[in-house]
Amino acid sequence: MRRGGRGNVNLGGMTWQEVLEFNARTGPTKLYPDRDLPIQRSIRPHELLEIRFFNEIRNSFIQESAFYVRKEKANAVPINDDGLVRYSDRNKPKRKNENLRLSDLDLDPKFFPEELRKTLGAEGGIKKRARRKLDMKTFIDFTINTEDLKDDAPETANPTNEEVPEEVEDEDEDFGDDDDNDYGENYFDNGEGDDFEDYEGEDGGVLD
Amino acid sequence: MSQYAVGLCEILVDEFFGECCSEIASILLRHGRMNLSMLLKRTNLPAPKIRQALASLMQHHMVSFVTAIEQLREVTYYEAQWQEMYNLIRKGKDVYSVSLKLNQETASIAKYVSTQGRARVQDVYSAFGKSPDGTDEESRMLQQNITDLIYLKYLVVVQPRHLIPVGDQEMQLRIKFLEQRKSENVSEIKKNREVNDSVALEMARLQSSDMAENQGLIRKPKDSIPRPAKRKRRNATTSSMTGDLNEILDDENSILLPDPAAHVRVNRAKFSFLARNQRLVYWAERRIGKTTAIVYSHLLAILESKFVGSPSPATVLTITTMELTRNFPKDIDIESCFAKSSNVRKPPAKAALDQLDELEMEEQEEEDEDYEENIDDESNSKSKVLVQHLELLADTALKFITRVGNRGMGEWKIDFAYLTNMLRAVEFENILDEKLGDRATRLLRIIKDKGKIEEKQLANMALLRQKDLRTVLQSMAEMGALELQEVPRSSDRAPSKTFYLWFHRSERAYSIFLDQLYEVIAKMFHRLRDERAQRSQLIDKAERIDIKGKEEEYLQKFEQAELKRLRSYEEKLLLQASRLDELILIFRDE
Repeated sequence: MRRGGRGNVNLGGMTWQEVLEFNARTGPTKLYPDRDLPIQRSIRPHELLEIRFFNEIRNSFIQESAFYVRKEKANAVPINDDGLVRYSDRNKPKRKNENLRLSDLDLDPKFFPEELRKTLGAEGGIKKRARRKLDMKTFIDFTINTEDLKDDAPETANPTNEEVPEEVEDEDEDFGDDDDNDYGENYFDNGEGDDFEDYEGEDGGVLD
Repeated sequence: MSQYAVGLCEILVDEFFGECCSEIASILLRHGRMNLSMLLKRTNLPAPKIRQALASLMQHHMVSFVTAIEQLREVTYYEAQWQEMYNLIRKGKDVYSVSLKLNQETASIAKYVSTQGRARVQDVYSAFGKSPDGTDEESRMLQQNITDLIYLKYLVVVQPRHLIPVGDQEMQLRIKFLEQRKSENVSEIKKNREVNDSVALEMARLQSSDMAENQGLIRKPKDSIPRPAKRKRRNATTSSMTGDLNEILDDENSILLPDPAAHVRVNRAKFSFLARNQRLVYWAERRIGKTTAIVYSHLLAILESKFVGSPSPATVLTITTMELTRNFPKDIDIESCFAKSSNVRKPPAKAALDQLDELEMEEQEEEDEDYEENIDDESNSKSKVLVQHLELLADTALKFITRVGNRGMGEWKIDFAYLTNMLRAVEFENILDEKLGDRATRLLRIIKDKGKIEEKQLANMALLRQKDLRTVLQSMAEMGALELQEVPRSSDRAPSKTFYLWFHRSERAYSIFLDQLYEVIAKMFHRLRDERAQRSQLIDKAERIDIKGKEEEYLQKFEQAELKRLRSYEEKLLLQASRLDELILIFRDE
């Protein structure tokens, strides 16, 4: 049976050879076809400043502003995820905005609908606490260090090169990374094949 | 509104405002406007938290509300403003733009207003520890900075009606006007038409009053305020733009001061306008040259200051050469880039530039002595050179500027509507070039030129073989740059008997591309969140009160390296997001 019928055959400019080749291609295309990944252009000074301001504004939202609404209220006694109170909790950063509420901000009620006005706080109610005064000169920092601008290319390229072969290898190999501490060899001692002479370090003493 | 934009807004709100607000925002974005009871049904959050979240978002203009009377009860509906949520990504850029255009102190003010969303001028004063009536140097400087910001519309005054969506504002006006005309004895159609006209008029009036020059400022007679002597020095050292500002204030017998009761917020539209102009200057530099691009950037700067606020695309702005000459800074050398046709053989370009620079400096020094007599000559010659530059700009295919008249040594206009489209087309071609190569760009231009064209004719025109074309056209179609039109020759639409025409629809291509950009930026923020989550223990440890600031002492080497790696990832991701954001600005044109 001839492809395309008699007479006018519209192959779209291809020859029979190419049509046959095209049909002979089997197998799916690669999920991640080979690509030349472009390298990111290095950071310019103005971009560095922009990112710095973005981060500062974001941090001020998260840490200091009353607009960050948390789901759980912070208790006077901090409790961890597992319900226990620990000694190291006293070192946890106390966010300034855990006790701040919108009513501390003294917002103007005419910009809000009726039903939200009570979240803004009663008029003439509790006076807002004195807020930290911002110093005009140090509030915003425009200094650029040349180290910030330099490409960390050699340093960050190597870790990524190392990571890829690591993922391919066995998972256990990953744990062999921390050489600096005491738990190096005993990290994953699941008890197989241990006579008690092999018992070296603390079993299960790795705090996570 | 695309799903990727919604995803991006959710994650941005989560970054800044936390989980509660992000949940509320996502419900409002995905399900449209709703009132409080509907919100309660869709979420597990307790009612007080919902109200707090709504109030927070409203303070930052991300949620707007309208109170309507339904069935004898007052119901308030809340609507999400996704453009404002998206603008969270640009907070850093806005602060930096202000610092470029004005000075660093104004940037601090802008940063403060950014963190508050919307601030009373009074509160801005007190946040920096000053009061509006203070007379010391710092207070005065703060006052001047705030005035500049408000006058130039980097900070814009907010009224309560700005929080109501535009459609609802019109509806309210319509109801009001219908009420007024209820008793008139005219036909329905005529009444409706009149009401529509009044509504449109009223909206235009309100909009223009927003953009009015003195919005947010009050006048006080000059004499009531003791003026320190330092003011004169400021006049001499500030740039020409604020120099003009001081002149304006000094001409009349009063001073403009910020109104302490006014509420202000950062005016994003103005920054978009400025950023777009920067992009235009970049393309002018690529197409013509650096000096001409500098001339163009000064021209645009003058237009920006003339236009208080951001112009709607329909406006057309004109400027005369004389005005440009007057405001052009004197230390820029604009002549040496033109080759003079003379019999003397020219030395290499750089040496010529240096030589001419020196000559011009000497000339200027000489001229300064007999300044008054030669001022006309100098500005005339400068005008002539500027006219040359402007003509270069006007002659390009991209029409950066067009000549309109002859008064003042040449009047030029800039058509922003045309330039926006042109900028998008140029950027799109650039992106296509980088993705698929120059063959694709060439084909796109041919297709745009010809309208709808068949593959065979395209092959003839582009001097390529059909099978070479095919892959490129296919990838362009996948990108959204091209579409196929089928024209059947027979009644049964057999593929061998139909014409297939390729054509380019720019609107669709740009919106597909915008969507992809949103997706990419959202993925970057997801990745950022992920990287942080992977290292959450480390971050918690580094933020402990006894460790913070003393990382070198307390953290191990590998932990410090890990932290450094995290910082570098953050920087890379945010950097790329902000670069892509520039493209979004061009293609979305707010």
